[in-house]
Amino acid sequence: MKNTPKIMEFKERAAYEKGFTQHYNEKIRPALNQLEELRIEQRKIFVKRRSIFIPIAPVLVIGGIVLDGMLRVEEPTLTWAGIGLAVTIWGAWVSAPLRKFKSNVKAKIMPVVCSFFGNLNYIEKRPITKDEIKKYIIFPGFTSMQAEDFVSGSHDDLKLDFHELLLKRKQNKSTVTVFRGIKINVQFPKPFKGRTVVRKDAGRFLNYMNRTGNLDRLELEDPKFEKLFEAYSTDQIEGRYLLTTAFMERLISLKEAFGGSQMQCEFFEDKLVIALASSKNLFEPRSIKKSILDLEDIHIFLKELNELFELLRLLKLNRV
Amino acid sequence: MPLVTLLILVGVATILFYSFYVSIIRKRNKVQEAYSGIDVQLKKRHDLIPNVLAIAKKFMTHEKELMNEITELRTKAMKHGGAENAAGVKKALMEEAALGHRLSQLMIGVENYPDLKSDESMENAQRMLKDVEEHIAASRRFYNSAVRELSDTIQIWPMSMVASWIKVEPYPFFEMEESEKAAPDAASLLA
Repeated sequence: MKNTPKIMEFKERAAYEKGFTQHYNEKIRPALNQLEELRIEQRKIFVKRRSIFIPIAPVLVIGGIVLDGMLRVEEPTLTWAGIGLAVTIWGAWVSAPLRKFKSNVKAKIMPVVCSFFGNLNYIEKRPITKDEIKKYIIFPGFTSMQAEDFVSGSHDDLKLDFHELLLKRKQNKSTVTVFRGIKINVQFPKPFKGRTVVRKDAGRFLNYMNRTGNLDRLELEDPKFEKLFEAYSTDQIEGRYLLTTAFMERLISLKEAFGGSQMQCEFFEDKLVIALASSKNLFEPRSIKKSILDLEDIHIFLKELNELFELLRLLKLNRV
Repeated sequence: MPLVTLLILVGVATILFYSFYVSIIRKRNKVQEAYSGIDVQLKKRHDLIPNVLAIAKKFMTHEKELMNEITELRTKAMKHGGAENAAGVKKALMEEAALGHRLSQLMIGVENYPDLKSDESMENAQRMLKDVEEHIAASRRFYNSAVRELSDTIQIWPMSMVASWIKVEPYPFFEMEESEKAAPDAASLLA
């Protein structure tokens, strides 16, 4: 006899979850059984494909090694080809059910979670050009990028959008990650014309090496701020108009609240752009092995989104 | 040989003197540039005052004396020149501080007139004035930073010696008005 999975009632665990039950009952609960069925189905496909892959992968790699040995080539080209093929098969075929499941969970749950926090829209992927990132000084030079989890709209009367961003740069034969985290754009309430940048203080030598062409260094009054950051602007007065003493304190609080991770920001084209470096991949459902019906993924999404808004709240952008 | 040594010493002394001279003049120019930044913002404030007073006069019946004082201080402040010397800057900054103080008193007084406070033109004028005041504050911080840099340079030997030869004096800091530091006391305005 087939057991019908039991859908749990949503229990509001934290203050920020207050009122979410109604959203859950109206918009998520009806889709949960379907998501759970999808999870079970995709897990089965994944396990099947993995069982096929496990014996094939060593054959590909060992085959490459043997052929390289037989051909007595200087470079182990076929070994690398075997490894490359195995990785491609895993990425494109074996793990495809995992992606399908995660994508479906995000598509069903994240828009509801986002709309709970304000007039916010969510889309997992959208085309983004390199120039959209390259125009900002706060992001390091890169050769490839990935972006996902795009949230845009308004929260607490603040127009904003943010997404996860991964930037990589080719160095010799290897590729290194130069930025991993969140890029946040906030419509800044004060008007400004130039560009003002707040970067991490990297020490006298590196600050000098990374100096920005047409931007002048701002020597600011707050010693704590000066210790943590380096500020530059196209206009000494406008830079100080944006970086008031109160705002400097808030940036310090934001950096401290973010656990000392790298935080940089830039005032450009009417917006405050914040780059929050983080090794954590946000808004991801847990393993495909775990049932969606325990609602833990929803709690995780709510928590992560709330943490992000809590950080933004520290800037008190409605009071600048 | 002693002549060569002497020439080298004179050469080194000349290069040192010149580099000190350049450094001091650059820093003094930065102060003057920063002061001109304040000046631009103060002119914006001066331009706004007649509008604010014209709107306020329609409603504020008990603050005529304060408004006349603001007009006088504005006329006086508009006469001050550039930042050719430290004494001129000091005088101008004092006059502007007095004007800023009186203007903030007037703005607190507006709170007592609900019709005036909700008047659209007054709301616009207040918004513009707030923005100008924020720019003045930013210019003041830039000016004070430039003054600090110049003072640090010309008060330490041997720069102090060069500065006195070329007659460069420390510029005054643009101090924050006590009234700006403390929370406004509306009761004193009603007295």
